[in-house]
Amino acid sequence: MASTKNIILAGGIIALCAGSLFILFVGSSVPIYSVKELMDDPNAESYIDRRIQIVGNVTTITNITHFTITDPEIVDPSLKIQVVAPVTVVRPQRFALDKTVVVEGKLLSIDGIWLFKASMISTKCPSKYE
Amino acid sequence: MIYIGFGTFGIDLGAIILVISLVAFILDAVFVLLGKYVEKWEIYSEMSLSTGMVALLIAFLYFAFSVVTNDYTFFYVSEYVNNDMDFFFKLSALWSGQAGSYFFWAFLIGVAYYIFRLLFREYAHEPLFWRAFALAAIQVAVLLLLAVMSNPFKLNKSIRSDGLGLNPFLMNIWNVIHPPVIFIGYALCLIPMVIAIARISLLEDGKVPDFEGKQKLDSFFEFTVSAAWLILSSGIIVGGYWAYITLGWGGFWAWDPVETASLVPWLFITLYYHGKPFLRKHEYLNNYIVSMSYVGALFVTYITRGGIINSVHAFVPGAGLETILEHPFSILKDIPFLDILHPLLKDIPFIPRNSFIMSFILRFIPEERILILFILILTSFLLPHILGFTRREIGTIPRLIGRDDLKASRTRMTAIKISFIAGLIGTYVIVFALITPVIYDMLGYLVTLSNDGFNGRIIIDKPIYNTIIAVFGGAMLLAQFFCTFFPRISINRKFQLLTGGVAAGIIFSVTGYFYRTGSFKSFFSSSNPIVSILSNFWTSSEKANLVLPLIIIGIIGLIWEFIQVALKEEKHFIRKTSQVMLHLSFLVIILGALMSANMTNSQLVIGYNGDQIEITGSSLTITILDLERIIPESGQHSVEYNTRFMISSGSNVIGFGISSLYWDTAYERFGINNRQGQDVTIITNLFSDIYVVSVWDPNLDLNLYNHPLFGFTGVALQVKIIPYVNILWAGCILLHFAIIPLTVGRFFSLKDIMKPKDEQEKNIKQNEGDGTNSANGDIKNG
Repeated sequence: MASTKNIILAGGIIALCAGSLFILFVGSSVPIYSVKELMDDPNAESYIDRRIQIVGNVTTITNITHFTITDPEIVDPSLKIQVVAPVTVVRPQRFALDKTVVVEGKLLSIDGIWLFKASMISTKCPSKYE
Repeated sequence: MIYIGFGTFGIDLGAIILVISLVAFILDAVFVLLGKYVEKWEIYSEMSLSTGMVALLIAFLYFAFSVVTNDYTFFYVSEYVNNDMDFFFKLSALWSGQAGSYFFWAFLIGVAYYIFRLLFREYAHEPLFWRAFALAAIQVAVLLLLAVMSNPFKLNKSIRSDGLGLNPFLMNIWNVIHPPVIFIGYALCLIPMVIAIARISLLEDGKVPDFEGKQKLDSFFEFTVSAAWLILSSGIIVGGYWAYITLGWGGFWAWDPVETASLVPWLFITLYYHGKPFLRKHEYLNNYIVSMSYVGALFVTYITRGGIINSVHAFVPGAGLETILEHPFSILKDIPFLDILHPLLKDIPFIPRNSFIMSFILRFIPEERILILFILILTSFLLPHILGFTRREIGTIPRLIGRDDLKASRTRMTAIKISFIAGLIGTYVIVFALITPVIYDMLGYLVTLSNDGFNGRIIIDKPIYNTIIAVFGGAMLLAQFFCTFFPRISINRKFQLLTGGVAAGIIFSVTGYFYRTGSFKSFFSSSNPIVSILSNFWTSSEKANLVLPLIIIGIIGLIWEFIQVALKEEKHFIRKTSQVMLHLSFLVIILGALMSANMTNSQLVIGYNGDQIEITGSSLTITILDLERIIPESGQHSVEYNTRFMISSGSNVIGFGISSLYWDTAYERFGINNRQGQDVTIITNLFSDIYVVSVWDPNLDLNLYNHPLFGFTGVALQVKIIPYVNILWAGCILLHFAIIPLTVGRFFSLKDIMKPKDEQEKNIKQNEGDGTNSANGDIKNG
């Protein structure tokens, strides 16, 4: 019986630690959305000024600091977010039109034009595009 | 292509040979498993194994030949090879696609198992060998099944004269080196894992009973673990360097989920060696740690191939599992030979397509091969745990630290144990952090019963991993003060050093903060000589500043110990120097990583021909020597803008470089517009790397690159000064210097022990006569 108690106790401690870690990790994590998921979210306003990541396809490169991303899976021209990325934000080697990129930064506004300021742009490792 | 069949009904010979190999390996596994009930099972098993291995070898060589000779009748070749590719790039295409990488891994695992069987065939009757063989045979059969399901010999329906070719970013030397090295490391982990689990299954009162061939097996085990450690270390370092020199891949370590997962097998092997001084007495834990290294390797594959976690390395998973779960026998359609049964069985139902359970499963098992891999991981992970429970060994783990360990005389051993425990818990916390996004997604679905779950997905970002490393790595670092750093001084002195280090860290961190924020300007002015020196070492992170003095004290202690060992030690010289170098290399790597990551100076400079531009925050100047626009007549660039520049510090020239910005036509074949491309130019000196990349006009009005009258007049350069990064690479080299002697020693030790007995006795007599003391003996003693 003692060993059963010990097992239950050890299991309980492990579960408690795992639960605490889970809450800690989720609380410190960065939410990641596709363009559609973010634009369809009724609470999207709550993401203004919060650090998030968005996955999207580059559709237009307006100029060196501005480009637009659309949803990578759903073809809908209305689902687009304008990204402002200062020149100091390094464009990865595979950054180009039609490429899927992940932008990390803060949502600036959602009135009319959805505007996102990126502090990091990354593309996927080429193995993704086999 | 060697087509077997008539009309459209047939397959390539390669697919047939691969299936033969799979069937033979399955038969081998069955004979080994049912060995007790089949007379002469060893003979049948070996026949199956040899047939399987020969078939696998032929299939793989045939596949490799098809790839390097541009046989476009194969779908795989036409997807990853084209007529312009060099031999080595074609060779790297072997492992660059899904089907090829599964096949390559299955091949390596098959070879590892075959060598294991050949070396120990005479002991197959022993329960430990029998169990290890059975486990290995099952692993090989399952991985071969994954290769068959991926079908590297799938034929194209139309004739092609050229292929799509490898992604341009994979056409470099690093793709030729990094993946196979990592795969070999993972394959090598198989052997220690099966031996370890077989040992656990036989434990009696915490000990493995004696058996015939034990000494040889132990030696082989030690050699494969050390070889796996060496090769995985090399593979991870090469991958880190590749990421470092590639723009936008996040530097040498970005805590990407796949990168992080690839660290897990290595961490377990490192823990195995770290715990050596006391793990000999804890057979279960000793073998458990080693078995987890291979589970870690399977876990990496799950993350890479599953695509369930957002990673820059993730492959796009297939979408066939939904169909298979709905109609399980639909899988037969793609399996050579069994496809005949497909029309008969395809409509038998299993899980309804739009049901709750189907959606739930697809969240963490997106495709059929991942389902098999998932089952394999789960069983490989659970087996040592279940065996530990049933043999009452898990209960012995808490006894790792007892009251005796609190005695002053046992400080060293207690410190090693604490350090080991911190490392083990830290490794599991990293694994838990890796799978947290998956758990979050699954829980969200279970709780909300909606596809959106808890409002989208999450990623575990760098700061969390950095915190895990800070907590558990910090505990390991502190514990090292009492075991490795200064083993020849008294405990009181060790305490004094540690306290001094912590105090120095606090002072260094606080003053660094004041310096960075511009407080107490009168004291922290640049004219203050102490501040002037320290400003070269203060990083932008207070946490890093806090720990740097401790690391430097540790490095000094280890260098001192190395000298002591070199001058005084005669016994176990190789083991002791390797041990000291190993700890030193870890500290040097951490020092380089902390300093370079937190002291990087990044800025954008715009210059015209002949300009000398000062790089703010440094003593460096960049001079634009020449600007040249080229429109090549052939090749994959439509236009190139080349900037020749010089980096100098005062009158000292640091180096010259050419930075290129170009429009790459490589993607035209994919129907994608020309793509802007840049090459990273790195000028290395002893203390820093200067990383230069041409970027497109920061403001289109400047017309830097295409001025209507003057053409290419100016350039925008992204310049990064990365100080002390070479310390990190030096640590990586040092790590090899530490592990190579260990592996070589283990090899010779194994070679000696595998010799026939009479030859061994002859060698011993000869050594006694010569009075020589071999390095192998040193390793054995270690």
